[in-house]
Amino acid sequence: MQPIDKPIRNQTASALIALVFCVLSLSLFEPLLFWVLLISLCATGIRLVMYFGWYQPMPSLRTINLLGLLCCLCLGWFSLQIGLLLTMVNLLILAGALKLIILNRPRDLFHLFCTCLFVIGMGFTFHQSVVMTLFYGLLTLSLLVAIGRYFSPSQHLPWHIKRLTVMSVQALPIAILLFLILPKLPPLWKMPVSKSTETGLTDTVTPGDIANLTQSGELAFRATFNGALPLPAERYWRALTLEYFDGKQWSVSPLRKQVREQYRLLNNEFKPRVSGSWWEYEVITEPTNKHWLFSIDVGIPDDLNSSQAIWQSSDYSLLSETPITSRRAYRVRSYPTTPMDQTLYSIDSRLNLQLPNNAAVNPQTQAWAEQIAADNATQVERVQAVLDYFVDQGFRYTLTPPPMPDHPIDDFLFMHQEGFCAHYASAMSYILRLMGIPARMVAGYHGGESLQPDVLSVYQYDAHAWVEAWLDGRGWVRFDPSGIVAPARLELGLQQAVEEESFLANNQMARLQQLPLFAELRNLYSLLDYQWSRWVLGFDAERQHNLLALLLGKVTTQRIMFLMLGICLVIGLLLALYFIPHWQRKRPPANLRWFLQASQKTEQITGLKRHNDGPEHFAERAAQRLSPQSASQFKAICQAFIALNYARDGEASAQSNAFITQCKTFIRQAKAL
Amino acid sequence: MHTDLSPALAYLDSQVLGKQHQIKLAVTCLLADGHLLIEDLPGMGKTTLSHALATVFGLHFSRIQFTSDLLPADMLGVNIYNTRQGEFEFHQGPVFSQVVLADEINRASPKTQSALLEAMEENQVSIDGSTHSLPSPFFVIATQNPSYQAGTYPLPESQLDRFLMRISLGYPDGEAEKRMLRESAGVSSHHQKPASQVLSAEQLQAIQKQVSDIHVSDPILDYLLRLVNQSRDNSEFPYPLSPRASKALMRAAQAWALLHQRDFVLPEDLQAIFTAVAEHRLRGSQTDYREDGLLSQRILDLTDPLAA
Repeated sequence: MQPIDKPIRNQTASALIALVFCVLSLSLFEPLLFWVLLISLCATGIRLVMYFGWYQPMPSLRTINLLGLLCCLCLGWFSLQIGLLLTMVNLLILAGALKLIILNRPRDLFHLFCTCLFVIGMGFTFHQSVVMTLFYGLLTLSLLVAIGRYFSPSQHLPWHIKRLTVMSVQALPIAILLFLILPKLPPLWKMPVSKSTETGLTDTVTPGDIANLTQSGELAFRATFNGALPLPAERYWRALTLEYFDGKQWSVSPLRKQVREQYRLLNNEFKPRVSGSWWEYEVITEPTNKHWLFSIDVGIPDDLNSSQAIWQSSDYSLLSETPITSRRAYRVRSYPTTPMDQTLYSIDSRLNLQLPNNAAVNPQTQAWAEQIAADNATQVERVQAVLDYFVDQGFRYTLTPPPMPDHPIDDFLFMHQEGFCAHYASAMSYILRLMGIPARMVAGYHGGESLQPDVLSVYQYDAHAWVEAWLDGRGWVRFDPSGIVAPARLELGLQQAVEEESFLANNQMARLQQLPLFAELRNLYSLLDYQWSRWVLGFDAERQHNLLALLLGKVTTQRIMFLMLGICLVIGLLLALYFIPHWQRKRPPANLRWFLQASQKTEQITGLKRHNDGPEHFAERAAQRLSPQSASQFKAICQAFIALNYARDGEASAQSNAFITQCKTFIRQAKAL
Repeated sequence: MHTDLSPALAYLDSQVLGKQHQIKLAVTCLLADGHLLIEDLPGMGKTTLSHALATVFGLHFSRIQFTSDLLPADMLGVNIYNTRQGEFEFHQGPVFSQVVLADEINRASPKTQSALLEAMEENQVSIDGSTHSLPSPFFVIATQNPSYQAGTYPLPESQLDRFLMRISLGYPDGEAEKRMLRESAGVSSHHQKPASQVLSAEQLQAIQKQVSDIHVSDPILDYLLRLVNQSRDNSEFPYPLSPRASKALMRAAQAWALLHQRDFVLPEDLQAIFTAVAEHRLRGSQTDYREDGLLSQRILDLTDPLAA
C-alpha cells in the first residue's frame, strides 16, 4: 500500500513498541541474563530520548553491528552455562533490543512487532498464571495499539484503545469456541528444562535443605477432596522415602531404585490391600521436573487414567511415569487406617538397617544408642526412650540452627539441642538403625491451607520430614519427633511453631500476609489461580473429549467432523454479520459499475491505463487511440456519466437503463484505432 | 449564463507569457475570494502577474515591500493628531487597497506578518480601539522567497493555512522567454497591449457570488473526503489536512469549474487545484516547495476519483 522504506515520521508508534518491549523483557527477568536485560533497558532509554527529542541522531549501523557482534560472543560464552533454550531466549531479546535502537523504517517496526508477539508467546513457557495471562493479553493489546497508531497517526490514543478493546471483545467468543473445539495436539517440541527449580524437594536431603525450603511461599500442589478434609494432624503428604544415609545426608537408596527397576521390568506393581475409611481427592501438582507424586498414606490411584500414569512403589510412594514438567492432575484414594505391613520385610530391613560406612562419624551417638538398647528390651520401649529424650532434654524447634559440620548428629543431640524437622528425623532414624530397628526418613509436606471447604493448598514452606520405623507385627509406623518437640507444628502449621522467629524472613510478601485484608486478597487470588489451572490450563485432550462426549452423546469421527464444520460455520456467520454491511456499502452503484466496465474495455483495447483520471480526461486520452466511431461512443458515455454523476440534476445513485445500454453497446462494439 | 472570463485570461497570458496554468490558478484564487501566496525566486514575474490581475479586474492596487524593519503601522496606517481640528485623524496605510501585493512577506518580522494575516482573516483593521473596514473585494497576493535564502522568517503553518493557494511560477520555457525578450526589446511587430480593464470590481463580486452556486455532487464530495482522509490516515503525511483545507478545496474546485464555464464540479477540477491548495498545508513551514516529489501528487496518485 505504501513504500516500506521511507523513514517513519511519526515516532509515537516506535516509542510505544519500545515500552512494550521493555516491559516484556522485564517480565522475563528470570530466564534473561542480567546484561541482556540491561541492554534492552538501554535500548528503550535511547528510543525514549529520541521520542522526546532530547537527542535525535541515531547510532550508526556500524556501531550496532559491532555491538551485535560483541553481544553474540558474550552470549556464546554464557550459553555454555545456561543451555540451548535460554540462550535462544536471550538471543531473541538481544536482537530485538538492537533492532529497537536503530528502528527507523516501517519494515523495522513490523519486524519488531512480530518479534514482540513471538516473545509474548514464549513468555507463556515461563509464566502461566492467570495474572500473567492477563498481563500478556494487555501487552498484546498495547502492541496492536502501537501498530494502529502507526497506520493512522492522526487518531488519538484513546480512540485506538477504545477501538481495539471493542475488537478484542468481539473476538473473544471466537477465541473461546476455538479453544474448546480445536484439537489438542501433543506438543511437537518440549522444553529441555522447565524451570530452574531451586524450590521444591530434592531426592537428597541434608537437614538444612528443608529449612531453606521454608523460605519459599510458592505453591507445591493443591488437593481437592470429595467430602471432608483430613484433620490438620493427619495431613502427612508423602513424596519420597529416603533410605540411604551417609552420615550427613539422606538419599533415595540406590538399591531401592534397582529393585524398582526390576519390578517394572516384570510389570510387578505394588498393590497394597487396603481397608477402612478413605479420603478421595484430586491433586494438581506444580511442575517439579521429578517423578514423585504426593499422597497421604496409604494412597492408591483412584481411576484408570491415574493408575496408568502412576507407578506404585513398594515404599508406599507414588511415582509418575514421566517427569512432571507442567501442572498435572491425578486422583488418589487414601486409606489412613491401613497398616503399612505388606512390603517385603527382607528387602526393607536390608535397606533400612544400613549405617554410614565411616564409623568414626558421630561416635557419641553410637555409644548412647548402645546404652539405650541395653536399658530397653523391646522395640517400642527403645523408640519411646528416644522420643522421651527429645522431650526431657528440652529440645527446641528452630529454622536457624547453628551449623554442625563434622559430627552433625552428635552436635545436634548433645551440644546444641535445637534444629529443624529434618534434624530430628535424621537423628532419630540413625539412632533407631543403630539399635537394630529398621528406620528411614520420609520427605514430603505436612499441612495445607484450605481456601475452600474442600481444597487444600500446600506450599513449599509446608515441607516436612519425619521418621518411619518398622515395628514387628505392625509394619512401618510413622514417628514425628519434631511434632513431639513442637506440637503446634502439627496442629497449626509451621507459622505458629516458630512464631518468635521471623517466618519467611526473606519474603516481604509473607509479612504482609499478617494483615487480614491482604490474607483475604491472597486467598481470593489463590482461588482464582486454582480455578484457572483447573479449567483452563487443565483443559487437555481428555477433558475436551469429555466435553465433546457431553455435547454429542457418542464421540465418532463423523460427529466430531460435523461439529467442527458447524463451529466453523458459526464463526464464519459471526464474521459475515460484521463484514457484510461493509461490503454492501463498498459495492459501487450500477452506473459507476457499468462506466468502470466500459473504461476497462477501453483500457484493454487501447493499452492505456486510466490511473486516477476522471472521466473527462480519460475520454480525451482514449479518443486518440480508439476508432473514430468508438471514440465518439466513449465520449458520449463519459458525457452521460458526468451528467448522471456530477451535474446539477444528475442522480448518481439512481440506475439509468439508457446509460447502461449505451455502455453495453460500447463494450460489444469498441474497436481500437 | 456566466460572464465570459476568456478575454481576461487572454490579457493575463499576454502579460505573463507561457504560464497559462498558473494564471488560471491565480484567477481561480481571486474568484474563490481567497488569498494567494506565490513562492519563487526574484524576477520570475510575480509582480507583473499581480499588477496584471489588478488591472484586468479594475481593482485598486498597492504594493508593500516587506523588510525586516517594516512595522505594522507602516502597513496598516496610523492615527495622527490634526492640530487644526484638535483631534486624531486616521491615515490609511497601503493595506487599504483592493489588491495588495505583499512582496517578500517572509522578510518581515513575525509581528508584521501576523498583522497582515490578521487583516486578511478579518477583512478589517483595528487601530487604537477603532475598527476600519478594508475595501471589498480584498485580495492579498503575497510573495515569498524560498526559505533557504538568507534573512527570512518562514511563515508558520497556522498562517500558511490562511492562503487559499500557493503557486510557483517557475522559469518560462525557451519559446516564451524568447518572445518576452523580443517584446521588451521593442522589436515585436505588434505593440505591447495597453493596460486594459476587462471587468469591473462589481462584476468580479458578482462572479464571486456565483462560485458558491456551482453544484458539488455527492460523488465529488466523497472523492474530496477520500483525498483528505488519505492525508490523515497515512503516516507518510506529517501535517494532515484540516477541515478548513477541505473547505478551501471545495471552494477552489467550484471556482475552477466556473472558470471553465461549467455549473458543476468534475473530479478533474479537484485534481487541477489540489496541489496549489493542499501542498503548502501538507508540507508545513520547514521545507521548500520543490523537494523529492509533491506530497499532494502522492495523495492524488493514491486516490481514485471513481472508487465507490
